[in-house]
Amino acid sequence: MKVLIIDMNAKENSLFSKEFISPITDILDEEVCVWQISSYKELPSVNLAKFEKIILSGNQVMDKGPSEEERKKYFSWLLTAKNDILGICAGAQVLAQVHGADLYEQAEFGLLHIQVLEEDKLIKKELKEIYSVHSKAFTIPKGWTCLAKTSCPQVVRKENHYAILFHPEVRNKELIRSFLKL
Amino acid sequence: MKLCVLYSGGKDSTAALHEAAKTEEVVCLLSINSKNKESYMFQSAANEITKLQAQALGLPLIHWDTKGEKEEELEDLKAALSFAKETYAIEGLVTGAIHSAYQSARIQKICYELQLWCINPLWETKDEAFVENLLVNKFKIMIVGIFSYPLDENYLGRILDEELFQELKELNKKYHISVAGEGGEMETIVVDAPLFKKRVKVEAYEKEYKNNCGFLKNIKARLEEK
Repeated sequence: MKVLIIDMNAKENSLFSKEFISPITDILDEEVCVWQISSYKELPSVNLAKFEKIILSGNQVMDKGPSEEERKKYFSWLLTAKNDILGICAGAQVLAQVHGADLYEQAEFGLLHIQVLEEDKLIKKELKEIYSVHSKAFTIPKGWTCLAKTSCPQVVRKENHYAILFHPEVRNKELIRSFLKL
Repeated sequence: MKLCVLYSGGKDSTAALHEAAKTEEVVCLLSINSKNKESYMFQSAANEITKLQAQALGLPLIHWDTKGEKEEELEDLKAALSFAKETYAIEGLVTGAIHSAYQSARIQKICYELQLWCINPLWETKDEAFVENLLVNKFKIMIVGIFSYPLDENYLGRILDEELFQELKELNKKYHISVAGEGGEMETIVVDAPLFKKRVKVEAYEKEYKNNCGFLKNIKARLEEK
């Protein structure tokens, strides 16, 4: 299985991105996946169709993330992508924004209790505690389903595209394994 | 980017410092001297050695005392970081957090409130690979605190070399001891590492030990040429 990890950090492949990328590649290695890391700024030169799964990473809380102009330039393909997509934290924010969501101020830091609203292949009722580090949350894009929430939507899905605001690579690694099995 | 490293002098923060220094400008170290031996936030063993380590590294050290009481120590950390921001114009903090969500999230929150980047280059690193990497890179690490069965006073003062690493791996199989001490089983100091311009020579110490908990105290040390 080929997996593309999109590094959402402004300074790609750097001291700043390691903590968001390495925990994911460790899981992919355990699951014997072939993976590639590309900065979001490199996406125009990446053949996205050759990857079955695409994971958009988190980034530093102080990183403002891609601008509106950059979202249009680098992420409009998300609207029609056939790949299985998992956006994590900043990656989830961009995935949701591309589909029309707004971001709003909502800082959450640490281990939080999560409420599962609807189960599916990734989200099971056993999901109780999550690790969150973010300053902004997203509204639910039109046509998407909110599967789990804290005081804000934590997991929203449309078909095989998932936007997850918390960091499953820290305390909920089984969720990433389930994504690989979709 | 100008960075401060939250520095206990142990292997995790020293390794994080080395990662940060590869690409960024480390301008100071911040050592929080906790009076509480049971602090979940800060290492308490052998805090006095950090002054020598900072000299060995050639970096200014902010040495900040805290009583180590649960929420007060966070206020103390915030005050210390504010001081570092004013004094050294730091833009971010580097920590050696590996698995502790408790520690990491609290530091992340404080950094966000102060508009500082919070960088955790070792986050979720696997224990064995981490220790192996330190040994390959010639970190010389001394155990200065032990807090879990079956570790006993014989481990205090030992250098984490290949032989001890193998022992810890055996203990991991039998007792689930983390070989990197990430479950709070042990605390360490680094006496030599690639960025140290001089090495720390530990000449004498006393052991305080009871029921699989113990630490080195009254450590006498000096710097020596490498």
